[in-house]
Amino acid sequence: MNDALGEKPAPFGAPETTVAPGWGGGFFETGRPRLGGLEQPVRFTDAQAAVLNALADTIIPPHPDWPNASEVDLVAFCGRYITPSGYKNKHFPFADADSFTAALDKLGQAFVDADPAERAKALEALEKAEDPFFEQIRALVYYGYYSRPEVVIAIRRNVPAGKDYHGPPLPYGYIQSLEPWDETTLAQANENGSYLETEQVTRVDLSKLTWTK
Amino acid sequence: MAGYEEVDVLIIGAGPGGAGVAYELKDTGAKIVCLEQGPWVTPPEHPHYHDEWEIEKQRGWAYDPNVRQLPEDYPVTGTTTPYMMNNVGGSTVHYAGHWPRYKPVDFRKGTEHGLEGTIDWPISYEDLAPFYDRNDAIYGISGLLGDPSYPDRKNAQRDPMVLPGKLGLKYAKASRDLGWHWWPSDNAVITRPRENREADVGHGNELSGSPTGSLSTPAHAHWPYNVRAGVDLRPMSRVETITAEGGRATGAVYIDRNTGNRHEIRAKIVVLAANGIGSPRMLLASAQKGHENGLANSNGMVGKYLMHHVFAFCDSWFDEPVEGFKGSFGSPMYSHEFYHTDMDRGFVNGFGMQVARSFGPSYAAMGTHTGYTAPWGEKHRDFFANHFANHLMVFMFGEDLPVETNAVTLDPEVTDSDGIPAAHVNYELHPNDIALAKYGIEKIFEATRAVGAVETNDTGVLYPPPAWHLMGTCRMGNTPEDSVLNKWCQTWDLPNLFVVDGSTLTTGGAVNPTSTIGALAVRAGEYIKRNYDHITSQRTTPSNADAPTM
Repeated sequence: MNDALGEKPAPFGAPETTVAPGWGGGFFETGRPRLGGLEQPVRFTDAQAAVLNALADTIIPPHPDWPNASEVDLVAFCGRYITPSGYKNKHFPFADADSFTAALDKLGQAFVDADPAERAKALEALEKAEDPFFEQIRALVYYGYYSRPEVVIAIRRNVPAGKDYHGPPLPYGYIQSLEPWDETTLAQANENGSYLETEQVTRVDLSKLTWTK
Repeated sequence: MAGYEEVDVLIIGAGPGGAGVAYELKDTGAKIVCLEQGPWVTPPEHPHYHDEWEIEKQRGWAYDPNVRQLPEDYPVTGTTTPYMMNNVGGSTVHYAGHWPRYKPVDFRKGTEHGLEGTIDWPISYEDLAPFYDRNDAIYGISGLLGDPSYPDRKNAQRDPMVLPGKLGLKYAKASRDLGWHWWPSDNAVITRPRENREADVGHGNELSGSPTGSLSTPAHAHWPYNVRAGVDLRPMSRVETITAEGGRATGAVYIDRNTGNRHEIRAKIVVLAANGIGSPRMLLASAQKGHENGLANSNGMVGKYLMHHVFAFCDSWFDEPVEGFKGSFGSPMYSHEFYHTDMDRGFVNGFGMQVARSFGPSYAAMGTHTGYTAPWGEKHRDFFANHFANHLMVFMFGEDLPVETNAVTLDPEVTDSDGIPAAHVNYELHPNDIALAKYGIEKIFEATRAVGAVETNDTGVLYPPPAWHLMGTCRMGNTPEDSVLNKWCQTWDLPNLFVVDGSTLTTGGAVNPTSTIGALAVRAGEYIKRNYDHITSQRTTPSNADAPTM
């Protein structure tokens, strides 16, 4: 336990934190972030979850061809990727649960009940104020929404350039749908290009330099 | 700490430099220990099989140790974004695998212009060429021989090229239509399976490593064989001090990060291979009696002449699919049309254009490489539909000048978790670098617009640069006055202390450095193997002219 900060260690099985740069023990708290985020996600109240879903639908509005952002369980995603209360907030998206839930509470039921234009106005106010919560929630919604398997299916269906996209890079990769080099194109590759042999290197005319220090 | 152990060769760092030297020495019967402060990353630790693979790139797989903050990382302060990893395989565990070589002119930049701290290398392209070939065979490289912008490489082994996809074909067409040089890239990505390694399947997430081994890194290409031959690789072993006595390195004191216990190890030869920031940091942190300014630093040059390359990211979007999420991230093709100095442009040096892949839909929404973040709200859906996978990114990266004040020093206030001083970086772009980069951005968009780009965005000249390339801080040179190392990577001050990593590079070229670091490692390892008795009896480091040859 880092008594000076009153913080618990990182929640990923890490040992004690250090106090500050240069203090005994070093600069970095130890601990590797768990793939997939927290094993025990931060829990939101029903009211907070409703605000979070309303925010998701404001950031990525509903569309008949796509899953609604409020219906792909971004609440769970956010719960896995924010930092629990009392723990050192050291990994992207650098959202600590206390501040994050306070921001949700502040928006509250009024935000949930508002129409889309009013919601957009409230979110725009956060953006203009450069409230850290804005960048956190936008990143969580973008990263969360486009990681959901049902959204990946929608990408394949709706975006011509994404018809082959399948989500996680492995195990499949894309080797079966990549265009190869064609012989005609390759045959033209050696039409341009040259190099200087070692003994050909000579002093250039530095009077032509156009920059000044 | 009680007692010590004795070995023949101590290697510090298990990246391309250390792994390469160990590979050359592994069958000699020498007792070799390699200390690596990080772990051997296992396949399940990679994010490639996870739905959340994109957000994980910002967390445990962030490039910058100051962001990632893993237990094995150490702080790097200053205005810098150092992209490195500390683990078996070094920073190649998250590299793209671009694998170009230097050209002959790159070894003669002192002759060509000599600006700032630029000097000629003590060796030529011809000296290094056979070691490039040997190193390529160890790693496993895909590509196509015959590029007219290079000397003949007829002895190099190549797997078949990675597939270009729509993205590679598009920029190849642009370059061809403009009459520019272009060529399919060499990549440290295998397209045929090897022992314990699967062939590339075009997954495209090499910047988070490769759990299948398709990305050629020392973690796959060297260490299994080094360990099999008896090299004692010790992950989680952080060197605290390199020791010296009587004009020779004597070994190191290291901390076993599993137990916290300190150990001393003595060696007849010490090879430092901790990268272009880590190696000068370690030498400076090893100041001791007789070496008050740090080891190998009697001329004050350790840490100086740091080079990163000058970078800009250039995004182009098309009104047709480009499918950048497909294919190995290693560049499908490159153009060296503007590689050589042309004084009519008003600057020295040149740059390469390297076509890169994109990642997934979150990357598109978050703004790709240039911060072009998708709007939220009513415009989001249309933006996403028009931008995701219609995107082509080209790296502009050019040769930066070696400047004395661009340097790695020790931070007097910040330490790592074991109390070892952090590295501090001072790096500023030179006006020549900026002029070069601005020209390069223009040329890249000239190409993409010629093949139909409907929208473009760029970062401008990036400062601080994305420091994937850590070069020049213990450079090879011609005399003890102009460098830290002689032409065989021996420090001028301590003949049995070698430095073999990016810090060794005298100039940076305008290409990714890993193939050159690897070639130098093969060469240094071969040199140690052939001259072991001579080196272990030297009291002073021989001049380049007097040193024993291969």
